[in-house]
Amino acid sequence: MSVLQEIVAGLGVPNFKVLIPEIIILITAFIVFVIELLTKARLLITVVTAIGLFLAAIPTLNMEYGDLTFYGLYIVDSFSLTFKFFLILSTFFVVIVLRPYLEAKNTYYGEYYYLILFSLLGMMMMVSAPNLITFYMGIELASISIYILAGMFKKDYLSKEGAFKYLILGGTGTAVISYGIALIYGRTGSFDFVTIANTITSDNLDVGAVAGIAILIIGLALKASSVPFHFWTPDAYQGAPTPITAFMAVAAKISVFAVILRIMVEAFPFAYEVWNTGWALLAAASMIFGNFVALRQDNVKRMLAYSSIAHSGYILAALAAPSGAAFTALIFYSLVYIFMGLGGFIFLSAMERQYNWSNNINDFRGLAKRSPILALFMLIFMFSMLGIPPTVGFFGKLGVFIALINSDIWWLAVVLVVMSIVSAGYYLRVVIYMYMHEPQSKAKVNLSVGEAFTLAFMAVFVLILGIYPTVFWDISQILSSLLVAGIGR
Amino acid sequence: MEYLWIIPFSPLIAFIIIGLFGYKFLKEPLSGIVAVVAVAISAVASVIGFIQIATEGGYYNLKLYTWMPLGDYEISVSILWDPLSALMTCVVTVISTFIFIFATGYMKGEPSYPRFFAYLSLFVFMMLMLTLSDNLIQLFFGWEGVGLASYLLIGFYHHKNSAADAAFESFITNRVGDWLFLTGAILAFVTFGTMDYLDIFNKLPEASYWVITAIALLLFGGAVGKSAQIGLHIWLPNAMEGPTPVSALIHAATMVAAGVYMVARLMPIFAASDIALDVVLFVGVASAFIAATMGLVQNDIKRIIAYSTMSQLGYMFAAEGLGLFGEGMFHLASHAVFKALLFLAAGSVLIGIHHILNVQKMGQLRKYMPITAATFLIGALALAGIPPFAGFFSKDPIIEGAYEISKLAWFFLWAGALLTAFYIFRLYFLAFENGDRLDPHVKEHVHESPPSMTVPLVVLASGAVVLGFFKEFFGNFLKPSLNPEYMSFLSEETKRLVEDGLSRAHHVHMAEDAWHFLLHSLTSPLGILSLITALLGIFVAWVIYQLKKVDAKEIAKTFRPLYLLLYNRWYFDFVYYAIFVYGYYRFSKILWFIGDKIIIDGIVDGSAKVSLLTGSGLRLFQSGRIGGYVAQMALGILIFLGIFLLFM
Repeated sequence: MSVLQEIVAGLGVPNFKVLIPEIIILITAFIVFVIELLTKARLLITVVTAIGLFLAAIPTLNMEYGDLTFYGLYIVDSFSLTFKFFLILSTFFVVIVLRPYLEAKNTYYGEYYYLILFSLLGMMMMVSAPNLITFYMGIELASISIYILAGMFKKDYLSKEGAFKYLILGGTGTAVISYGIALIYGRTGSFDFVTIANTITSDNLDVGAVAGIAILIIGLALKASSVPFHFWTPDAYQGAPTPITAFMAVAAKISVFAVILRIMVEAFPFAYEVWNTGWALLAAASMIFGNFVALRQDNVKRMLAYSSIAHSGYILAALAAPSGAAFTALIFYSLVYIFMGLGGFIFLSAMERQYNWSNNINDFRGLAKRSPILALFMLIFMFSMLGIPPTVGFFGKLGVFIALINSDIWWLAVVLVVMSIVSAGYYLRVVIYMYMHEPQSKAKVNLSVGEAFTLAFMAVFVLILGIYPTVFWDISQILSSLLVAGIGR
Repeated sequence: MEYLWIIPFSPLIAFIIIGLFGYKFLKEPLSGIVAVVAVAISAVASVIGFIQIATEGGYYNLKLYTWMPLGDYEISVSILWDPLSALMTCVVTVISTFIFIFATGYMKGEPSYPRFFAYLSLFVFMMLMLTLSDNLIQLFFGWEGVGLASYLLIGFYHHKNSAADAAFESFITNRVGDWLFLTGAILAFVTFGTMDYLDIFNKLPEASYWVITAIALLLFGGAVGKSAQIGLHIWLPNAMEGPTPVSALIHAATMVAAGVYMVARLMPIFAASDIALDVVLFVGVASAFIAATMGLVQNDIKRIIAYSTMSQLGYMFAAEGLGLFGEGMFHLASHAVFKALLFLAAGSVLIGIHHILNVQKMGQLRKYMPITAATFLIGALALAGIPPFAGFFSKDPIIEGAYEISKLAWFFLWAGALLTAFYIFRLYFLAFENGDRLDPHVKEHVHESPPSMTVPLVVLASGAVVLGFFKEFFGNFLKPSLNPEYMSFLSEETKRLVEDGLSRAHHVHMAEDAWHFLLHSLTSPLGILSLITALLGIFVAWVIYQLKKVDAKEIAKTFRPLYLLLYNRWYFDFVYYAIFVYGYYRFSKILWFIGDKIIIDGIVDGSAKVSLLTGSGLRLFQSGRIGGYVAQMALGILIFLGIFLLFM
């Protein structure tokens, strides 16, 4: 008997049926890898990637039975399937806008596509982790692929610099995470969330447990670009090709928020007073720092990078309140952030082509007179990030705000509102430049079909969800109650 | 009853289609047709729903979807379909249909044709959200929405300064009312923990009398603004700057009646507080009388009808204040028909004589526009309350009912009826009959309007003739919504509370059947008195303006102070200007000097500097040097861990 047969005989065959999305992504990545070696047909690569993503999205929607498979190392439940679907969706939009951007920049590399797919695979593993080791594997696969993606502009100094910083600081983060995992393993003797949850309770919080949790939080905060562990964010976001920035700011962020929620709720449910305070402090720091620095940015891409730090603050603030309403708010905000985040960054990727890649706020002057529809889209994204009804950003913030107030965490709720008001300073600045200044040229902004479709899709969804948030709200509520019900399974 | 969702959303779809494609693809006739078809669909749907509820009884509460959870309460978009909302919805959709058809003719050749129909469709959608709502938030949404549509349509000719100013004035005046309404809605939510009408009604016995009074009065404040009652009425006459179909639809038939509808809708809240009912009564009576006096001396054809609208809305509020909610709503329906008719006829005149608004410059128009003149006459007779037209059956019960309840209210309502008959026939004689004052150049081109305009006129005129005979049907139909004995959605306790509140109307006994009522009016002294009053008003107008036995100018000279008082609209506008515009300006200037210059500028400049400085200060940390980053991160880790390990 071979080794493999022995394993199968001893442990049984893992349930591969629930892994179909991951398998499709992996196979697509390899196919793209081979195609890229053999041919330089750029359209073909894009199409194959898009088809692979589309095929992978189907089973995430119609899978009927989840499972805890791979000998307890991999969980497929509604929570992970929902996030997988949205990760695949956002990756799909990044993929369809990538080619025109790269061709305009004359730096086309086929490697982008399979690296994106590998990174996506890592994120899918993250959201499916019932175990610190699976989580660690996933986050490493995702991060390392993104380090490469961020630095793909080999001739561009900014890109190289950003990627390098990201690599160093991300590496530090990984080190911190592994240290936290080690401490928790030392304290509990297990990597498994359920075992950890049953071992660490509020009665027996000792230095080992608290330090383990705190260090793990630091590592996760770094991946979520939360202040004071955010230093890589502005440089890496600015240096990376803009569609890749969108991928980093949306897909990577969302998967990190999902995994943070799962680890906190499933692994440390009885030590919530430790992580409550921790996330509250990090969230407050992110909101304050992100918003104030964004005020001074003239580069819109960098401004949006700081705004994404501030948004990490808004989303993570929900973790300050250990209640079902707060988890619902976190899931809801993460899901809807996809639409405004992708919209904002992909808008930039379409705009900067026309303006010598400068991303300066002056490029936005009088855009409303030249391309009224495009300006309207950006207006919707900015209003949504700012949180003005009837855009969906309002409901995201409202959910977090109500959750905080219901748990009597007034100070953080006040910080959230005050910082939202501060953020008006820079979001509305873009709107003012677009609508109240005279255009510098009369030229129309040319969009590729993929870009136009993506922007329209995102803007319409931001509005529809703002008028009819019920479906997403219900999904978030179901996921959060499932998560809570799964404690100590 | 699920098909009811079509009613509000059909005009919304029309609004979206015309808004997106109006200028590029649909252009002139097609965007009007889209709007007409959409509103006709909702009219058909609401009539079907009306028939269904009339035959089956009961009420339907459809929750379309939950918009937003607010603690334990979920704000939903929903439809409450009971006789009251069914009647109001039918009035809105059916009248809108005819006015839309009229507008396709009236707006012919207008460059902003698609924009007009987009706004009109938006208005109908918002109005239907208002009438169909089952909770205060959706009501408020519709309330603000119709305000917005009204603003856009008054200022439709926005290049004209007067139109832009009038739009602005109406918006601001309405803001005052809306603010009161919102305060009332929030107070209701705080008191009852819910916004749904039915839940509020059934929780009424738990709340204290004074809280209910406060809620009712605040909500009524909103109605005063929206329905242009005395105090917040100044915007309505100026709103006539909008195109005439708008005046007919929004500022006569539907939107201004929203306040009346709201009070009827929330009848249990008002009935639970006799102070609130008294306030409604006397604000209504005062508006009915004062607006009628203002209408006596105006010369602008549309403004005369506008004052008449304000006066008739006063009658409706008076009816509600008297506890005669059914009569109030019936007057609303019949008024919607004959007032829309009067406005559309005025619009037809304006098209014929090229937008000369001054009635002193018209005359003998009946020769050129026979259909318009005849239909206008029918509308005028209905307004004056001459049997057998609709106004008689809907207005006289209010006046006669008032006699039984409050003699003071009766006196002013009765005097108002005299003035009403006078001013509307003054208008009729000046415009359509004797006196050849028409400019000869204009006269050459005067002709009857096209069928798209006259057909709606004829239909509405037939409505004004026959509607009155359905008095009994409407009375019985509305009982499940407005008569506590039949209101199935009220709990026993609330029923008792409401019945106590409405006891003031218990000794009013009027024939429900139209024929008996007619017979009764022609035999009882009170009925004969009001009939004679109306005829007297017409007679005086005939003597002065048709026979010219008495010179109107002489009368004005003899009673000069009174004439000036009326002509200047009781000086409301002047006082408001002095207090709110000029006074506010002075006050702001003083505040600006003390507060702004010295205190706020200091703080704002200071805080702006601080936040900008903080920004650039914080930016220093982002030095770009990787060693610095790692060092700062290490520091962050130390502090963060320190907090945990030392303080927890």
